Amino acid sequence: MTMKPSLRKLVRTVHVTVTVGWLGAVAGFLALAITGVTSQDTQLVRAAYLAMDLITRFVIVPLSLVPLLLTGPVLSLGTPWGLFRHYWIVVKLVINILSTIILLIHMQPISYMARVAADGTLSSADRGVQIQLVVAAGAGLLALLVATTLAVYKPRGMTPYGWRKQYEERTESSNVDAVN
Amino acid sequence: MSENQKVPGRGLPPSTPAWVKVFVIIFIVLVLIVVIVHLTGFRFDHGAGEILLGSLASFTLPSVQQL
Repeated sequence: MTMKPSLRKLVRTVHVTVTVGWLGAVAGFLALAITGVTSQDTQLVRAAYLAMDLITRFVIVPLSLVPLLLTGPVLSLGTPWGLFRHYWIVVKLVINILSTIILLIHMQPISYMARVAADGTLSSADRGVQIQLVVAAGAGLLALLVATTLAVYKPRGMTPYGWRKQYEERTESSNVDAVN
Repeated sequence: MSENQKVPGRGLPPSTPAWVKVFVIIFIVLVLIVVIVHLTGFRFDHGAGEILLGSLASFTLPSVQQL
């Protein structure tokens, strides 16, 4: 099924806005996570972890789910690109799935740090969790940058499935031409 | 390569591009690192993570009062 050009443009606009917003939100999260590790100011560190919890719940998680569950599949399946026909789309899908899973796994330590920050009981025992959040955010940002680069450059490479589907479509269209 | 092999569905499909192979190798290495880190009970506060971020931690942000 192919979408109308106007609908395709609308979905693409939403997809680009959401994915770039996700990238920006993770960059902001990383800045706060680094502040939490490096700052000597207790008030600033507490504010950083409270802000990280809010950004994760209300910005990063929704922005990660929209392209994964809605705009990505709709754009792929509603255009000739398909979801499993080109390697760059498959790799992007895998990156998005893994990033979202890792994000959801890290919801617990993020909530824990926000709770500790709110209670004012942040101690050196939490150092491991603090560094873990910096590493996770850095890795997430790198993965999203790779996904964005793939979307822009669209490197060549058709999967065996895409190769077969393209042949079937060409055969069907040549049969229609022969009938006409 | 013969002309027939360039037409989809005829002959062999194209081989996996080099960039995909590189991605797969990087992915496997990362998974192995994560598995090893978890199996060895590595903790970020008592290991390489601290060394990795040691230089970062020495950089201190100004306090709110200073701003």
